[in-house]
Formats: sequence, C-alpha cells, structure tokens
Amino acid sequence: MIDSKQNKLDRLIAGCKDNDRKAQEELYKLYFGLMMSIGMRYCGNWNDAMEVVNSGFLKIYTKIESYQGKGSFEGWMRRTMVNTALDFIKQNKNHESDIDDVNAYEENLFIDNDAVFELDKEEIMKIVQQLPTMSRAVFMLNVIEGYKHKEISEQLGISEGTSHWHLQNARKLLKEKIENFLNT
Amino acid sequence: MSKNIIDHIVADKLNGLDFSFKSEYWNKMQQELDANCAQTNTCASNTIGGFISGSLITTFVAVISIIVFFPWAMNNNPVDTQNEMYKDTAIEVVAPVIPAKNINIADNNTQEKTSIKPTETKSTKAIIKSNKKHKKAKAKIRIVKTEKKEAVVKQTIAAEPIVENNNQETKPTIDSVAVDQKTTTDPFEKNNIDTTKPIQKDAAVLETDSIFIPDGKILGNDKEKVEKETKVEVNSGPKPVKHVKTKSKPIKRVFKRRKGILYKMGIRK
Repeated sequence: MIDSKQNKLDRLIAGCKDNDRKAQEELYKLYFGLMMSIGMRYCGNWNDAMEVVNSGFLKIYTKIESYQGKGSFEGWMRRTMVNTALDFIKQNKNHESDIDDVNAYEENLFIDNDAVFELDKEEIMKIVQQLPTMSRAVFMLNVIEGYKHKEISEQLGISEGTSHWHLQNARKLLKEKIENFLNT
Repeated sequence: MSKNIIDHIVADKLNGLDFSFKSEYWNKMQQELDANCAQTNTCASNTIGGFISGSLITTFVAVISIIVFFPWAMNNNPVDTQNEMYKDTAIEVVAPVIPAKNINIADNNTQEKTSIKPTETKSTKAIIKSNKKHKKAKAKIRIVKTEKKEAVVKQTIAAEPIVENNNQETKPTIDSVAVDQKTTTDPFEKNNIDTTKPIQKDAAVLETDSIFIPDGKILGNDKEKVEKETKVEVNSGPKPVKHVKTKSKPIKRVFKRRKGILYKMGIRK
C-alpha cells in the first residue's frame, strides 16, 4: 500500500518534471487540502489563502527539478508553501504599528475552562484568522513549524525581540478570543 | 491552563484541518499556469524543445569536429606535404638548368624526378631514402655543372687554336710578319736588323694592319673577323652555365609542434 502510494507519487513527480499537465492536476488534487490548511493558517481569509496556495503550487511545478528525491516530498512541498505564505505576508507588510511594548506581556496565559477542548477545528481556525497577520505568522512558525525566534526574525525580516512580542501577542489574543467564544 | 496548553490545542486543531478539493480550484490554477507559460516560455512542447535542443547539439558537435579535424588532418599528413616540397624543389632545380641542348643535365634531372615520384606514398623511411637520393642527385648535378664549366673552359681554350686554324690562310703571312716583327719592332737596335734578308715592302704594310701577339691572339682589323668566327663556333656549342640562374630553394618553415591534448590522447603524433 505504501509502495503503491510512493510509486504513484514518483510517477507524478516525473510527470511534473516533464510539464505533464495531467500529472500536475493529480498532484494538485492530492495535496490541495494540506496546502490549503497551511495557507489558511498564515492568511486572514480564504481568498488570500487561495492565492498563496496557487502561488505555492506554481513554485512547486517550476522548481520541482531541484527536488533530488532526498527527504520527504511532502515536507519539501510544505516548506515551499510556508515560504510562499511568508513572502505573501512580507509583501503586504503594514502591521508594525500595533507593537506597544515588547516587554508588556507576562506569561500568565490561562484559560480556566475545559470546554476549550471541545472546540471545533473550524472555530479555532476562525479565531486564528482574527489575529494580526504578523502575530499569526510568528505564532504559526514557532508553535506549528517549530522555528526559533532567530530563524523567524530572519524569515520575516524583523528583530528577535519583535518576534517574541508577536508570539506573546498572539497567545494573549487567542486566550481572549477563546474565552469570549466559550463565554458566549 | 498554561500557554503550552493553548499552543497544543491550537496546533492539534489546525493539524487536523482539511479542505476538500473542487474542480474550480484547478481551473483557476490552470489559468495561472498558462499565464506563467506565456510569460516564461517554460511550457513549450517537448517535441519542439527536443528538436531545438537536438539541432543545437548537432550543430555544436559538427563545429567541434570541424575545428578538431582540420588541424589534426594537417598535422598528421606530413608525407604528402614533404613530397610536395620535394616536387617543388625538383621542378625549380630542373626548370632553369635544363636547356634545350643540355642533354646530360636533363637526363640527370629526369632520373631524379623518377627517383622521387615513387616515394610519394611511402612512409618516412622512404622519405629519408628519397632525401638521400635527392642529395645524391643534387651532387650529380653539381658534378655535371662543374664538368660543364670545365668543358666550357676547355672549349674556350680549344677555341683559341681554332682561331689559328681558321686563320690558316693568313697565318703564313702573319708568321712571316712575326718572324719579321722580331727584327723590325725595334728598328733602332742593331741586333734586330737582319742584314742578310732583303727589305720586303709588303711586310711593312702588314705590320700596320695587324699585330701578332706571341700567345696566339690577333689584334687589329683582322682581330674582329677572327673573333666573329670564333664566337660563332663558341655559340654553336652548349650555352655557358654562368648565365643560368637557379632559383633558390623555398625556405621550409619548421615549427616546433606543441604537445597538446591531442598528443596526449594519442590522436596527434
């Protein structure tokens, strides 16, 4: 089963390297859900996420020659998509003014409600999308992708302190929004 | 609930998130792909791309083969070029030396030609042999030339007695004059006066017209006639070699061959 899936993936990769449109379509169908979830994490709405996803797939199709078969193809696609989303965020960068004080937040972020575990995925996604763009990006890069603040600052072109602030800001806003959601 | 709990909850919920595919998404993606193809020309059909790349490769290979072959062919064909050199030298030596009447030299040169021709398709050993033959032939030519010069000198020497023979009709009178000249050249010496012989009036006339020189040359009015006759005889013989101008041999340029990559590969000797 795993071999057949890998063989199919190899065939699709080879087809994409030959600019075969059918192989490209199959690859798009296969990984659309995963790529769209990445786009939705970094973008505030569906349209931006769709733009990021299509731009990411375009990069994948054009840069697929650089994939030498070492490592996971899914991981390679994922990194490509994240980088595309970060490029999109940097292009639409007008959100530095909401930084009040880097050291303003303390780490006392608690939600005393077990109902938070009952939240739906879509509800969490809506809450995440309400976060400021840069704070959301830093939160995703740190929490989901596992990047350190130095790497995040290099990726987004901000200082490490600003990266710390965005992470704390994202956590604070998530707590407030989740509590508001649970209380309503 | 700590911040880690928030992070875990969000991460778990987001990782489990999935979006279903719709054909309209692919249509939009296809439009972007077409637009990208139009911009960058990266989606040209494989056949055209293959044809263009194939033609480019063929052209490249042809150019490289031409660039490599001609120097290789010119450098690896020394036999013909050297033989051409010998041919040229043979012609240049033969052409000026062979006069129409010089049979000996012409024969030697024809022998030389025939000795060189068979070596055209032989190896370098044959070339060396032919080169030796060539030198021998040249030496022969030189010997023939020297013999010729000697013959000419002999002829000129021999021509002088001929002058005497041709002028045999006048010789008796000249001899008599010469005999008389000894007595009459210095009229003031008493020893020169031969009182036994009577004075000849005709002898005095001959003295004024011609002067006899002891080595057999004749000066005076008869000298011109004699010279004309001797010239006719001398010119009728083989032409003197001193008028023949042989062409100088063409300078053979010998360049030191560079031992390049072809030499190392064994293609070039």
